[in-house]
Amino acid sequence: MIDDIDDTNAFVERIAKPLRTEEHADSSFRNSVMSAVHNLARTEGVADSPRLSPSGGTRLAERPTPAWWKRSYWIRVNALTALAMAAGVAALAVGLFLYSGYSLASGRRPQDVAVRREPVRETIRETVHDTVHIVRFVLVDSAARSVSLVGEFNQWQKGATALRAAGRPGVWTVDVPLTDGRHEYAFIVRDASGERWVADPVAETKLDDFGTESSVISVGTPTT
Amino acid sequence: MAPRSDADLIADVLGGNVDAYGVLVKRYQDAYVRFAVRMLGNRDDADDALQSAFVRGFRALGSCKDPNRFSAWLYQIVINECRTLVARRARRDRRFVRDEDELHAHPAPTVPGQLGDLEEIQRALDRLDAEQREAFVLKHVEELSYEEMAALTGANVSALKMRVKRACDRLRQLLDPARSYS
Repeated sequence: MIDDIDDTNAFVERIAKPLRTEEHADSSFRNSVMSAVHNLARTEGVADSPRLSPSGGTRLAERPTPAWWKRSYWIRVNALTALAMAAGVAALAVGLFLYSGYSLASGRRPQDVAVRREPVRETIRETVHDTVHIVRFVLVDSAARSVSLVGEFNQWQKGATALRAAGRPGVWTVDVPLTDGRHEYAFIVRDASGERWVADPVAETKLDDFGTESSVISVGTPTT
Repeated sequence: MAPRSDADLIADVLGGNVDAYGVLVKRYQDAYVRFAVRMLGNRDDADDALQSAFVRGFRALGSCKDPNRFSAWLYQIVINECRTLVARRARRDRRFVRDEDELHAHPAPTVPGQLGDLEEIQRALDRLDAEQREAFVLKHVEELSYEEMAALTGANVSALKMRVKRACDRLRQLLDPARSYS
């Protein structure tokens, strides 16, 4: 037994010794980091607020800043503002409904209007909560034919939340009302090769027990 | 003149002097290179992980609760960054390697007696499960105590001991099959 332990220790020492060879950063390393840091400081200001739990992985806001059209945005709304927004949205819904009727009467196709009613109803329903966060999910994939969002908030139903082409090639977006807390999600991308599960490339990722990668977004009061 | 403490430099950065972060980068840029290279198996990925870790460290500096332990805090970020890269790489590799059984049926060639060869050992290390590799590197390469490892990784000591043991067994299978126990 003692011989086995000694033998193992000797083996470990033999292989660990070369692995302990010192490694040094390149001479350009510091300049590269500081260049990125100065860019950050220019765009976001000096690191002045807690954003990261070092042992807790990353959150969306901690990633290197992507281009504006790649970012997800969220808007924080208190209950009063949310009610006002709901009223505005309801008025918009009525307007769209009337416009739909007008379109029918004038022979135009009303599909666009019909599609817009769903998010309107969702928004109104969500405003009964204390705080509503409208989170914009964005995915850039120029080869995608359609993109949908799945997550805990829609019971991971594939067809429940479709992203729309945002007017720029390959940019897909959808706004989703979310409550406070951490939400796991992923994109389902359909392209010429079929359907793929895609984690958000600019968000924190999490592996499930089967090794599938999902994304995580923290909304509202940061959790530590 | 005595070098400025980490806490002093961090206060300076948070006060608006971004260049003070450069002193911290210079102070710690070599400290984690070896860990990152051993974890990721190549210098390019290690450089990416470290650069990303230092930039994230800057962005999150305000949340460093104990500035006197900046180096340990940064080490956690480096470890997380390496884990993220390993996970991304595993996902990418899965797209190209369909048949895991086939892969494992053809192990990398090993030549007993060449245990002093760093590249050979690194190749074996690359084939370990990421958690086992991380535990082995922290224990036997960085020579940390299990308590230090637990504080850095969030895993408990007994789990870490098990990972290190399994890593050692697996490395022995790969590098010294004639004397392997299993």
